Amino acid sequence: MINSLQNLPPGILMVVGAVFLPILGKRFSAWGALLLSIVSLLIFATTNFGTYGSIELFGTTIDMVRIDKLSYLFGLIFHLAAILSAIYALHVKDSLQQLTGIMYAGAAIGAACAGDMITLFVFWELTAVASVFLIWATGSEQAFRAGMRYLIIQVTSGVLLLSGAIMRFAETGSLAFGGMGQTGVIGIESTAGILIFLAFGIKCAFPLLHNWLQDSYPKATATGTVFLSAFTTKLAIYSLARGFAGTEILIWIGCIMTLFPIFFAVIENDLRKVLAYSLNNQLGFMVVGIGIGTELALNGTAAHAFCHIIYKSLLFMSMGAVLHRVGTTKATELGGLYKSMPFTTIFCCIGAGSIAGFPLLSGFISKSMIISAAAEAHLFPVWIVLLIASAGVMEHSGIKIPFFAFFSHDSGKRVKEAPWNMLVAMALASALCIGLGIGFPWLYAMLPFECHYEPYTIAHVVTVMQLLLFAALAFVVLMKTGLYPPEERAINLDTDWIYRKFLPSILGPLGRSIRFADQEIRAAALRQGLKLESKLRSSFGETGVVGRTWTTGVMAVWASLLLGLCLLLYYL
Amino acid sequence: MTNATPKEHSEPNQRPGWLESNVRLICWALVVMCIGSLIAEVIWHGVFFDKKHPAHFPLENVYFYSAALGFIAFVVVVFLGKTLRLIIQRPEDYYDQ
Repeated sequence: MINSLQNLPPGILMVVGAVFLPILGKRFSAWGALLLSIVSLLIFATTNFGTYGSIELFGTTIDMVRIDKLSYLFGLIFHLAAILSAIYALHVKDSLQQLTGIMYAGAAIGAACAGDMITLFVFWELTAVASVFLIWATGSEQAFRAGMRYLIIQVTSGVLLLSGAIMRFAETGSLAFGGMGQTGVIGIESTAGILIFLAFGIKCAFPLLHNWLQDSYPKATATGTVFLSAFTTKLAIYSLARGFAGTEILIWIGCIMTLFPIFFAVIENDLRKVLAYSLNNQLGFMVVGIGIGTELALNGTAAHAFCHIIYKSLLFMSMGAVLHRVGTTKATELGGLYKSMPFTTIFCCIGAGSIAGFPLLSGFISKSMIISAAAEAHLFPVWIVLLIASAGVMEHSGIKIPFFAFFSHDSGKRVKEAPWNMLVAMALASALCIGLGIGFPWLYAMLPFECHYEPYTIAHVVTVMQLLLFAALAFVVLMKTGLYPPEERAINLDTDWIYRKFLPSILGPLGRSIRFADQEIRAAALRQGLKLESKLRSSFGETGVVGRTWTTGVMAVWASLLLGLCLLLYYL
Repeated sequence: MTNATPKEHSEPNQRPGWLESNVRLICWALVVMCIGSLIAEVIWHGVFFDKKHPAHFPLENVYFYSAALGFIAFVVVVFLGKTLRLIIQRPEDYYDQ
């Protein structure tokens, strides 16, 4: 049975099984979702490397499934993320959320193991369509609008991918999406390559294409954001790593991605939005790694994606728990929660320590690979940018998130600790963060290339500790001197301003003037038409010269006159 | 909810917990750890090694570059963020208007 299942894309069990979850009723659909992810993981883990599911399409043979080291790693972490998210959402009594969450995860797994562009495209779009329900599930008008914007942008990415794939098929005669380690499998030299690059870039939240992420993720449900944070963007990272490794422009795109979200994160009030900016910044590290394209860099990217999914889920889980209990994640309304949510506080601090890259936690063993790869490639500006970005990560995720939610000024809010299932999910994620930080050889053995990297050298530990501790010291100094900007109840503009305010403000008057001109032209035409009609009526109407009734005598006179004229002309 | 004044980070309005009463201690512990990390570098590189290995850039051979970078980068990021606020900050209901 396992053999025949191999020919189906991994994750298809979750996609199809999800459809039947509502049958289980509100109470058990959550457990059904968890069971589906666990069974899917067991099947996936026993699948050997290779290509499966050959079918004939467009006169060529395609392999729907390709499992190699890279897709195995992403398939595995996507399964783990799905299980963690499913546990975290066990208390949710909404079958639609359970259905779409698990379908979304399954689609991401299917895409990460896709052997060809068409399978990739199908799952690519399915992730978009399934995930938008997690945003809409909030039920607010704002969430609905953000969901629509999200869906439009995501589907656009899919359309670009399909266009690129078709053009590539016309050029090369192949639909395969394979190759790993060879640089520039697709490359941005052809138009097809550029289209596919843009499709991946939108989903990866490249600078200026990024804002769908910060716009929509914080508006999803507490549990929905945990799902969302894991799959879409990391699927894009996987696709970039497979198709565009060693593409130099990615280094610079990645550098910008690590830097600019930091400044937005510093001043953002909504802590889930801070995490969304932080997510963007973390993707930047991975994109730099793909751009460098050496074995160490690609290993670093894969390892960082693996660790990142867990600690970012953990951070979103802790903020989700706060949202669930307090009803908001705005820094201005939080503080002092460590007294009433002690376990959530500890788990959040472990996530914060991991993302900041403290030794013995997962971020340390993966981020440093990318930074070292930049150093080994002698890219000094990149190396410096990544170090500065690391200090920035310490600011927004290492300190700001736990500090303003759980410590800081006591908001006086006394709530219950998070539900048991949320605590279990956070505890498992925390255990994985620590486990990966200590048991890193296990992860390194699964990386796409053989890995000889040694993270725990004394020099490295000391350097990282100095960077992080002095960044923390800077925070204390700025707080004590009152120079740290206070949290304020406000929002900050980002590129979504262009399509939410600027374009409507331009298109509004433009539309109005077009409508006005249109009305004027129509009115003038109508006036002229009426004038013409009245003229015609005066001539041809009942009383008009032409139209009125003539007596027979007059007609006879006219007829004889005309006949006479003809006769005269004839004789002339 | 109404008495939450986010501008005062240090003064709790409720019964102070252990952390609130020991802020000074925590800050001093951090200072001690910072100094410890500097001493560790001096001992490791000054006593056991002449140079760091494997240094790819000259900056890596400068003592305490990482500490300086961490501190300065943090301060610069915060101040640039503060400046950015002047340009892009809007009221919460900006998009709902």
